[in-house]
Amino acid sequence: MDGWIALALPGAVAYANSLVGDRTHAEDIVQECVCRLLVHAARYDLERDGRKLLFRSITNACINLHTRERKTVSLDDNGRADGAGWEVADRAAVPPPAAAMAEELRLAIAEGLTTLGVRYRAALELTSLGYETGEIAEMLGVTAENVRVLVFRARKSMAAFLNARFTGEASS
Amino acid sequence: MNLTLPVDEQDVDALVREYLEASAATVDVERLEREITARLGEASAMRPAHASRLPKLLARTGAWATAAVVLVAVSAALYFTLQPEPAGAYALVSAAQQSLEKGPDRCYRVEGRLPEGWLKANPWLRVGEAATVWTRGDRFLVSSDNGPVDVHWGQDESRNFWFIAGDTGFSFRPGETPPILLRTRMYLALNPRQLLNRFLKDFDLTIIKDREHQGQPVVRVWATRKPESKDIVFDTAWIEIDPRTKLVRRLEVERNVGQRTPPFGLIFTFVEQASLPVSDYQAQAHLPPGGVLLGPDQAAERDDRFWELVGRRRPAAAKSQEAADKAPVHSQ
Repeated sequence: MDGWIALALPGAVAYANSLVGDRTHAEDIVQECVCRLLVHAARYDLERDGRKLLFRSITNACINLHTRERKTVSLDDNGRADGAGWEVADRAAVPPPAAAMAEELRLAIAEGLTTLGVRYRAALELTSLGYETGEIAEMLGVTAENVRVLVFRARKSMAAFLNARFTGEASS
Repeated sequence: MNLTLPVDEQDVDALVREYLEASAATVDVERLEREITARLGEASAMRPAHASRLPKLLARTGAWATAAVVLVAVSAALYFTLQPEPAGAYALVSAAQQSLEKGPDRCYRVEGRLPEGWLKANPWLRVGEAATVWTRGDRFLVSSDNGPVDVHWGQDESRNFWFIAGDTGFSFRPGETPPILLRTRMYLALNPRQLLNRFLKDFDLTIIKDREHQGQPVVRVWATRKPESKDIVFDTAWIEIDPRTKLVRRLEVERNVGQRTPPFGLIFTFVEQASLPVSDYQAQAHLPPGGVLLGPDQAAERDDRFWELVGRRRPAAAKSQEAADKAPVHSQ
């Protein structure tokens, strides 16, 4: 399989997982998107544009999924964006307090992201992954100005969420 | 991930990036690539060779408008009648397999429904509600007190297959296992990793519906043997997987043996999970005090005692090449 796919897969699954909130679902979407790209490989320069096209395709698939179905989320699932349930992970090499803090932060970020609308989440995550505003606009099918608004509000909302979670106060 | 309070809006990008990177680090790229390759193979197999002739044919008959109407109608019908699947069946079974590899160790209750003729010929297959199997990856440990004698058997971390009958233990290296035990091992010794591998390779998998098992949500996957698959000892299976933890909660495998005979098979029901020490999967841990373990070093004596135990003549092909008999290993 092409080298760009192996490089792009982990980030793509993590991104899809964050958007749909279920690892199995996310893997399914990523596999489907990669397959579609490979089937139409002749149309594109995948070595150059494959990663961007894949993320665009995943964004569309996840947004479609969100508009198609309204999920009910069990309280038990809350915050477990990796779909791992409540199984205890093996943290043999990590000091328990550090692992607990990192896990708490990870859960808080996952939970904070789920409070954002899917377009806000996608815009924020794609920005944090280093995509340019123009590229994100193209992926989301909105204007660059819209992207800036989405990212600005998403950042503000996430900061407020994390501050409320860890200090008990909302940020100004 | 480090957090400085209060969180500034400009810090959010870095936190989200680290969160995504940590999540990406848990992705099994090789498995995904295998599954993508399999999907591509399926897609190309399903594409009919004459598909490209269709537009020409329709154009020639002037039937484009009709085709469009039919297409819209079919799409609408599908849209309103099909429920979206919660996830791909192959992805789900594959995730369950990965989960079994990593542990912790899982315990299943085994219930059998096997024809009496088989049980007479293979007394080791006789299992009941008392049979349990602990498993992780290649390792397994079966305990049953429902057969002619109390039996413990399993496979250790080196894939040595062993069983204990009374005060004697028998241990076989991979490839040495007597043929009479192979079928029993295949059926009774639930090795979910191997079984799930079989499902992924040789079965058509379909998600039927979500349901509950003992109060837990599960996804039911229906597995049917592909017609071209050979050497598969069962024909169909129900696999119930917890979509959150990817835990196989129930597995029911069946073999159809004819129209007049009800299908026979085995049912594995999840009981508990824990972390077992490696030694629990080894024969020595289950030998009674003073018991003897006959292993590959005592192949000739081991094979003689084994065939005596099962009450059969030793097949010529199974006679050991080991010439020398060494002293048996006594349990500690």
